[in-house]
Amino acid sequence: MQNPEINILFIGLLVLTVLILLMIVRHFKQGVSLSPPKIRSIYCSNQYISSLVSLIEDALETDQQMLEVDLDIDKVSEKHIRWKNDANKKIKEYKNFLGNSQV
Amino acid sequence: MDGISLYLFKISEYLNIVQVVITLTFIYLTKRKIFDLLKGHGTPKESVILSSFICLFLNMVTFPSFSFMNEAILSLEMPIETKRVLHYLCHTFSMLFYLLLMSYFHILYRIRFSQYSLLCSVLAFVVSVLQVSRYFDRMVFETNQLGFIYKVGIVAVGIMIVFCGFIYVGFLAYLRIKPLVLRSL
Repeated sequence: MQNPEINILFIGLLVLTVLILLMIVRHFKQGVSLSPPKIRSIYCSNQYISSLVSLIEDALETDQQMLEVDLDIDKVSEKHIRWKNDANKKIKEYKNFLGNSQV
Repeated sequence: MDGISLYLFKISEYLNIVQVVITLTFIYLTKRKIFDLLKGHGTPKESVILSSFICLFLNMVTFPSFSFMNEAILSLEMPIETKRVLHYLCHTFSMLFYLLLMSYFHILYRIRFSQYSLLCSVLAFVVSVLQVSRYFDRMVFETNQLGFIYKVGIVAVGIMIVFCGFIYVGFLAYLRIKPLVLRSL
């Protein structure tokens, strides 16, 4: 501690910078919000989790855009429908299997 | 150096390689040519893809060049005080230049910021604030109190940028490969 006054000044400056940064992040989030407000309100309490969730939302939106703009939209949708049907079938089979095993 | 900071520095040695791998994986997943992405084809339908690509590409190109710049400053034949001033100023302005490039491309292609590019921009701003505060701490006021915060902070921000990119591209890869995996169940 060479000069306590300057140290206090620095701590004050750092706190101020963090506050300004938080304000900027909040402002941008309001402007560029991608998710429904419910999800945002749940996760807004924790900035770190919120940023991770927003990354996953980002990936979801990127995937959606890739699907929409992919070369052959009909093929993509066919593929997607087939995949969804298959997945539903598998889930039903799995549920039946679980039900039988429990009995 | 001990404990966490030592581990952070060890991890940071491989960050550039991981960043290159992440960017190449993203380009592979988009199934588009790199020149088409650079020219901004497909806007505004592909706004999130382009925004994330710009961010990943800038990270891949600029961060290794910053480390080269650091080595170049160290190899200069100058008094140590001048080198320090040059180091802090160059790093601050290079980070601001990174932010400028990021916003320039977004304005040029008329796309909004994706969450990942927004996060990287904020972290780049944090780095520039750290550089300026360390400059004032060391060179102007000569208090020398922010040494540990500066060392760990710069490395931690670098790791966080790459880690977030890993999560983003990893989840995207999962979403793209998901139909294939489910079909083979």
